[in-house]
Amino acid sequence: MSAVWDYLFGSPAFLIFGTYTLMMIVGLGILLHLQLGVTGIGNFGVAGFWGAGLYTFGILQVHYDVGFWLALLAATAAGGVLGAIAGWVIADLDDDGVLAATLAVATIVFLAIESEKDFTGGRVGLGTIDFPFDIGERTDLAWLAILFGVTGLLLWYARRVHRSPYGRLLIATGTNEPLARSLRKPVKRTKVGIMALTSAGMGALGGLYGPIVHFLFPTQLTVAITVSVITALVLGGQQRPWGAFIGAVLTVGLFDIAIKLYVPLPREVLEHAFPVTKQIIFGALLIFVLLFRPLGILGRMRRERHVKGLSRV
Amino acid sequence: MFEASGVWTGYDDIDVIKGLDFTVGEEVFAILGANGAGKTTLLSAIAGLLPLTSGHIRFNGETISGIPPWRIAALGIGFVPQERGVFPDLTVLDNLRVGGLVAKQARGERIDEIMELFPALAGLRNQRAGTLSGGETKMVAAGRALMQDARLLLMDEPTAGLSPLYVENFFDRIRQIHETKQVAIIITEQNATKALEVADRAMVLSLGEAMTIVDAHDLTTDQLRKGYKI
Repeated sequence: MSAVWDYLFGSPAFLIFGTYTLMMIVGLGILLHLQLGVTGIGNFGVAGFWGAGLYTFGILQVHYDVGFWLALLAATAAGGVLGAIAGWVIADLDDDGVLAATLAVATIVFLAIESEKDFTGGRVGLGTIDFPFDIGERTDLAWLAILFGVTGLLLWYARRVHRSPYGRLLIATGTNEPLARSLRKPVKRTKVGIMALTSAGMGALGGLYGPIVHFLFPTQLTVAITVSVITALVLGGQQRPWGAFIGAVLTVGLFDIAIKLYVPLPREVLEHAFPVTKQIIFGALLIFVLLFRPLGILGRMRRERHVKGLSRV
Repeated sequence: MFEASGVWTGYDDIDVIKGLDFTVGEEVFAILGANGAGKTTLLSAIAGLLPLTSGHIRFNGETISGIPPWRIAALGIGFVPQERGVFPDLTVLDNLRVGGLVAKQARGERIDEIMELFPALAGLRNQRAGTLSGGETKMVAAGRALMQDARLLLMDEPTAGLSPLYVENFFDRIRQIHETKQVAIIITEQNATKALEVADRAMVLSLGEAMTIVDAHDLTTDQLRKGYKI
């Protein structure tokens, strides 16, 4: 029994960090679900909105000793303001334009953080950021519980949106924008609003990520995080609130938790080849799962089972 | 109620509608014409989805040309496009609800009225609109527009692609909407015979110009042939 316990939970630090990453991808995926799956906004700049929150939080904590709650509020606002601006810019663009513009936003954020030195520390990094409380060895676990709570709240909110008049308006905008323009609500304001709201959430998640890594580097804001979120969401089904969770378990859960913890890979492979291989696989997976949009692989399998069932009747 | 004066509109550098003048009262007004006559373009311009090159459109004394489509909808103009007239991922009920987002009358009452008007929709309430047949889709589209407190309904070839049985039924519904809900209707059609049965007046549109505007029962075959360039 003890051997099994040691095998499963023998590296709690790895397990906890992997689960942090998992929760972060799930949270961002749920927010992206509201943008892409519900409103039809293909945001390819998730890392930018998340990074704006992460660095706003870090700068305020490191340079100005701002308290946790105020810094988190500022991180949320930073994501929200950036989202509103991006939303205004992309509201009248076609799908390709939206992808390019949001990727540009993430690139601008990345380059601004990397080239600025006084506040962000540039490539040298910015730190250190601590947890807002210290309860000894259990601090990590407590933070994980908070992240579980936050992602749970996001999931609850996304499910609520689906059943609300606001959600119906978003779905209408996402599925038939020309027709939605002739409803009695302005489409542009709707799109700007949902971009601001969900990007604020991404900014808040960025703020919550700061204490996990303690030290911020621009390399944390590369397109890799966006690809991870999109892959998870599209794999799990972009139109379902649960899609991001299912997809994240199948991708991040497999790579950042299961393989890292339970497959005896040499340290060199784990540190160098593994992250690169992971991104290559995620990229290939993304291309593959795009074929199964919008239900995702699991949704498609379920539909095929349903159709087979009907044909037997 | 509705007035279009010197309306020019089109796409890029191409003028599709060339200086139209017409008025519509509390009536069913049919716009007839062959493919390419400019019927869809004209309705899109009235709905605010296409800007005017020149001229102006007034509705209930207010100039509506140049204002955004959602404000035009808020003034009481409902648009039923020829294609893609529903939100496919929403259920029938949700399509109606989204139409009645800011309607004054209680939404439940309004939905009941739509179900009375289109009884076939009652059994399809929870079905996704994207899975409906062509005729059912047209009913949902019309119902959605009516949910918006529309005082003027723009219907772009509502029976295009429907089976003859549906066509008959749909034209009955159009007349019923006008008479029971006191909604004025501008309807574009290629099926002149059926449209003239329900219309009070008709305009024959040919290459963006009004060939004739007359009472529906006064329209002659010659006038139609001239407009359709047969």
